[in-house]
Amino acid sequence: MGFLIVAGSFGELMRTQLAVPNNTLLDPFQYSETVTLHGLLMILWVLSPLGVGIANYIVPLQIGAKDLAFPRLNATSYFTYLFSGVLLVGSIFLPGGGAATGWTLYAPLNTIQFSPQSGATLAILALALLSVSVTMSSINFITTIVKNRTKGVTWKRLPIFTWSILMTMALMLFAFPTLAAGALLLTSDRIFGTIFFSSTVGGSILWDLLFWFFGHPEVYIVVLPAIGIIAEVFMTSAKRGLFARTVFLFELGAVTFLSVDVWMHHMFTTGVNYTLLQTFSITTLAISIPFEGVVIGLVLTLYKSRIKITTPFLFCLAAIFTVTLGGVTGVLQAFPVLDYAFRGTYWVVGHFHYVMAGTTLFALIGGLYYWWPKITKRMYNETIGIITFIISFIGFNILYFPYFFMIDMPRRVATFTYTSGLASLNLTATVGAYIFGPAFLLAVLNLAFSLRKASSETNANPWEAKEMEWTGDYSGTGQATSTENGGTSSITGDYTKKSKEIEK
Amino acid sequence: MTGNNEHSEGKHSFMPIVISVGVSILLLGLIIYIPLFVAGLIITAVALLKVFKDGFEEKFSKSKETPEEAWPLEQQGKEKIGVWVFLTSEILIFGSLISAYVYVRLGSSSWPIASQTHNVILGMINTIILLTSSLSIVLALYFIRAGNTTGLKVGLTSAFALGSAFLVIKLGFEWPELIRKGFTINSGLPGSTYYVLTGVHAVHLAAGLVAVGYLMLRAFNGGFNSSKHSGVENVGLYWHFVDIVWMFLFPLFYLI
Amino acid sequence: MDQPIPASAVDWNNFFDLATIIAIVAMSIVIAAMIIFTIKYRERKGQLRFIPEIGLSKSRARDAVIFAAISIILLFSLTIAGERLTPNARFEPNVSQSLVISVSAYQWDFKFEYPNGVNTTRQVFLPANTTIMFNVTSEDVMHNFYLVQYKVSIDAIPGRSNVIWITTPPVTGNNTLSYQIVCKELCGEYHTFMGANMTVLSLPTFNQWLNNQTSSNSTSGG
Repeated sequence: MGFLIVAGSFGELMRTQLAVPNNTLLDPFQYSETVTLHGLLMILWVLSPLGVGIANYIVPLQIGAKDLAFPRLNATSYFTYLFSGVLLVGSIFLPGGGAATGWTLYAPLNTIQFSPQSGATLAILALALLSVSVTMSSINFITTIVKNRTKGVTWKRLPIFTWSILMTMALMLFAFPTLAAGALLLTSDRIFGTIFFSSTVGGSILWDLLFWFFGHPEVYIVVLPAIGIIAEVFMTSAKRGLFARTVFLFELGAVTFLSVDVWMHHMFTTGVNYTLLQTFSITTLAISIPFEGVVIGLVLTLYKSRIKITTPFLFCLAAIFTVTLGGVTGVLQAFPVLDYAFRGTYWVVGHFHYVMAGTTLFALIGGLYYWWPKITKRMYNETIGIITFIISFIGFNILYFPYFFMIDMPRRVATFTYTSGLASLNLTATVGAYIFGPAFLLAVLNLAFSLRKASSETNANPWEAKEMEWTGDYSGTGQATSTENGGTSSITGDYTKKSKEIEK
Repeated sequence: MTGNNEHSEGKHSFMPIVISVGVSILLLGLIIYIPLFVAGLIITAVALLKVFKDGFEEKFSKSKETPEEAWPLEQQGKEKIGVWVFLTSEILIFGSLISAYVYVRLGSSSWPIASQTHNVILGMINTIILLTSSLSIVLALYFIRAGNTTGLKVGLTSAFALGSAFLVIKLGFEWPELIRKGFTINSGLPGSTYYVLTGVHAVHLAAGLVAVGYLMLRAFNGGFNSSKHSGVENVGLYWHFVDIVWMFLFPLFYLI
Repeated sequence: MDQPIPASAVDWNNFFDLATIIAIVAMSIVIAAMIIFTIKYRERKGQLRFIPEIGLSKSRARDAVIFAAISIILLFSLTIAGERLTPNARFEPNVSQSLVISVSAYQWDFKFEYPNGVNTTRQVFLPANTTIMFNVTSEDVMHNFYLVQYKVSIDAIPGRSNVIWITTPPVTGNNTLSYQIVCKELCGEYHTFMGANMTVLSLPTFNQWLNNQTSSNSTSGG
């Protein structure tokens, strides 16, 4: 959470700098540092860890385990994550400053020749340490989900959120070693004087390949837990099982598999062989199909249901909105010819903020709200929740929607001129930032405030949820007529098949 | 960001924090102040020893959670599954490094001839040493399964000795010779790729030696018997993996 | 700018509009469905009805296949359309009939070299109605060479020569067309200020300018 505040303030800082043309609040180097740290922290130290943190608590509950398979490894993973983040933030205080290359750390800007400051090396080491932490986590979670399920939790009845975590962890296993390898080679360049990224034989393209082979699965790692959360919240809020559950899981698996084969779409402008670009354009378009299927499945879960509108539900609704908008803008980028213009501009920034900041952040907060009564046995203030949701959603859109109109504005520029015509759009966005940031913070604080109330068992299941982590009933004992400790159907594990349960 | 371990059974170890702090100080020291690096190294090493000691006294071995659904892997212990998952990530990191090597080598207009640069004989000897060490570990497992603790000790000790020999030959003979000839880590891409890859492999081998050393200490302390020896099998898995990586590195650097 | 939009950009805009319209339609359907469902099916007082799971049945599977088929057809058509447009930027025209200009990006400017050896910095003058081929490379870090109004860009990578080309629009007499070039890849401290001006002159004016440059042997343009 602390990292969210740091990275969030960096975001606000950036927007402030861009509020007016020719602003001199931050000098260009500082701006680049801010950009880099905002990106790295948000993606790697905030979004994913929030998801994993929720999973750390909820997955064992969902599968009936007492804890993760390797508790000490769990703690080690957490503390290395924490300290790697401390190292990263600390890197900007070293003489010469920290990394100023953007979160993508492109070569050869990242070599010692063009980024001589030791802060940049420290940032790379922090990345490597995070990779270690993540690997430990994935070992833990995968082993837990495979081995520590209690009786009755068969693969078929595994909850959706746990499925999404399992897929996330598998992707992490696949993607982070490549980041670690890249960081290792870069560190070797910077400390031992090797020339992996400064020579023209390896150089930019080698870094691009290594980084994006990690980078693309990484963004799916960020978003998959969010999808799992949305599914859970929708199911409970709508009081019915997931629409076409098997197909849904199948599509989610397809997205996971395909995500490792689309990464070159980040390299459309590097001048590599055009046939390669065509191939990856096709794979990128291909992955959009199961993903859209996932979204449609989630929406159709609301069909012919009985929806209780609550704060978590609203956040997840917003998440569906942002993932659809973000998703289609992403599909547009899958065409190389369009991407030539999009690449490196604010269109891309808009796209990924919609899917990452929008979908993931909203879904994660929705998940926190949803499971809060279970975790803390306290109920938050629903009215404040809904109000802060509305304000932050409006602010979010004011902040990011203008980005799609700023196709001509390059990324990571510290200022712009009056004549570029971008002034009003930028100002609008900054206004949005000032609305979104505080509102979102309040939404989170709303949860913290609830801790001041006394805990109470009556809060243990305010949604009348039927999933296993709420009821404690893992083996699916047939039909039941009571609403609280309802039985679970043998196919979905979620809701009873009683259509006889009556209309009043 | 993780929740508290509210579910655990009240046994908390401080080692995770200490290890993390140690490693972080180590990395920080690497950048700004070498004595800090040494300090970090010492802290991490001490913490690791404490972990070993805990393992000795079996302070953290929990009883199996029953009953379980674990299809299709009911027979395997959770540590074994953990090791396999870990090995997957290791395959990927070596895969990425090897791919990077292949990429720069294919993109280079010229590359020194392997037989002229490297001592193929020594490389061959090292390969045989590693293969034999893998065999030793397999035998060690075989013996302890049958309850033969002497065989276990012999097997583990041989593996340890052979692994050490590998490192001695590589670091004590091969590398100094290469450096003397001017083939250093920053003498160009051939040098860089060789040292980085074999270096990473050597670090993994050294870590394996530490693990085998731990097993040896436990074995000599009577900590294993015919029904309790999963550590031997798991470390063995890791050891075979390190061997297999070498099977790739050897031809890639010494033969072609 | 009240000057004509280059042909490549017109095509780009059309394709973009087409793709965007399809995207907006798709998105509206999904979001509208979501909102309608939320409103229509929200809980009203006094009802506690549990709905059976709508699972996988033949009709669902058929629907899924139809959906996938529609998506595939749509995306495939868009891809083909995109391919048709790409020649504007990717597939090499006849080199002998183009004006080849070497572009060197460096921190933090662009340097242009003409076939006869004339050099300009931050400025490039081009003849109208000609195919221009840019050979783009970098002297230091990775940059991106973006012709803003033409909507084409390529990375400038050290050690690599990437090719990109455009066709300049017609110009008559003493008129000029001004276009912008910016760097779209973070390349260091002054990335914000890295760019160049492109001016298109009518062929006679351009030749005159080029002759002046060659004879005075200057190394920077206007």
